[in-house]
Amino acid sequence: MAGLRGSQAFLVAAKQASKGSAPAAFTDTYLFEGGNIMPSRGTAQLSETDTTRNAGNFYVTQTAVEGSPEFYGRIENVHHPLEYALGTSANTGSVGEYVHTATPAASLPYITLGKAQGGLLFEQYTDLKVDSLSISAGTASPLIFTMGVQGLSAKRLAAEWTAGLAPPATATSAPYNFNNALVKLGGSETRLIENFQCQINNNLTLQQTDSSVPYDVVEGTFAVTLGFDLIFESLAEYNKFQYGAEAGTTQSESIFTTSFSVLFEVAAKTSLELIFPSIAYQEFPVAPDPSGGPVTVSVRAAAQRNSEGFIKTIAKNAVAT
Amino acid sequence: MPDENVSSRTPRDLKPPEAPVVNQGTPPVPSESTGTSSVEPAASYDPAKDPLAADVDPVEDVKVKGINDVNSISTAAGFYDFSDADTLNVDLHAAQLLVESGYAEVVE
Repeated sequence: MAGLRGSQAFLVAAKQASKGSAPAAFTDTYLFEGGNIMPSRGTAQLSETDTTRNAGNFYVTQTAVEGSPEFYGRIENVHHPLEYALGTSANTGSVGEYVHTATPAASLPYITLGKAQGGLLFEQYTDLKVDSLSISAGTASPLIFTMGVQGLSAKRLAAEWTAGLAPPATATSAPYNFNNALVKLGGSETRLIENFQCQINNNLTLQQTDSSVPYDVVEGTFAVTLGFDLIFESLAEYNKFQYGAEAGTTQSESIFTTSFSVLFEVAAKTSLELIFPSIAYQEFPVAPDPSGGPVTVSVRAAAQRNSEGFIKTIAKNAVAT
Repeated sequence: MPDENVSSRTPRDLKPPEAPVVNQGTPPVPSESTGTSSVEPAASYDPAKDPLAADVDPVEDVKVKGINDVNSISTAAGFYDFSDADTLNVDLHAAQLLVESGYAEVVE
């Protein structure tokens, strides 16, 4: 028997109505760009003496699920990971242009994921929540979602999902690319940003009680961070960060906040916009370079509290919900 | 110097020392001084007159409607389709999530 091919793998996903409820159908099929998801198995070692020098035996402490599958952000299915990570999605529009607006909520939905590998291994993971969602795009590179999940249980299936749970057709559109991006800083377009990475953190906690299967997975502090490389062509943003204003000359003791947005648009009715109404720079390092290359600044920022929320995402496509 | 009594504390040590051991292997019976399980409702207790017990059905007790031309809202509490109805009855938790999202408002 030949070894299994690593490239023959896919991920199916669906939102659950509640904890413990199985979905009637999967909504998306994602292809792995990297990462993985697997049952997790915690073990510990007994600490006791023996009549010999032998170390203690091991025992199982926890059985759960965790992983960070990575996949490309495509027109048809970018809105669901965003809803899973933020909690709420409002669907507006009509045939030809549906609009999905995801916003942060107090509670996250439970989701079910399934992994198929090599036409042999089929696993279904239930009662998961999104711990972190990284959305990134390098220079001239596709948009990549890395969805860190934690959850309660896994089961292995003897065969691929069928009937109502048959995997949906894989999205065939080209992934969004940073070459399609329109970046705004402080409300105005900037052409100086080379790439970006956004990290949505829900800081989940697995709660274990009287079973190796955790009782629940619970949301913690919500935080959103942002990083991007900025061509250092102007002192403007540096001055705002260090000196409080574009023309400032004395160090400011106030935190400077601004807005940031990135719009990926391949057509008027197919786009993804990530909106950060208020961010504060955390790092703005301007460094000499002995090699003589042009200076780019690796800016790090964090979303700040404001009436519009840390982040809002607007996805437009032809999918109703 | 570390306090041995603190550093070696375990849940067993935190039990009230005078708690009676009724039978090894069964849960301890709460003492009257700390437990509340022995408190019975008064003989004249009428659940229908209790303002706390007279709560409405927790499943359908808030009426909301979508705003900003919203077709549907998907939350952790469920999926709510406004395209076929002006208003929906939802539970309190769902109503909170829907209103927080800014795409639904409470009607009554």
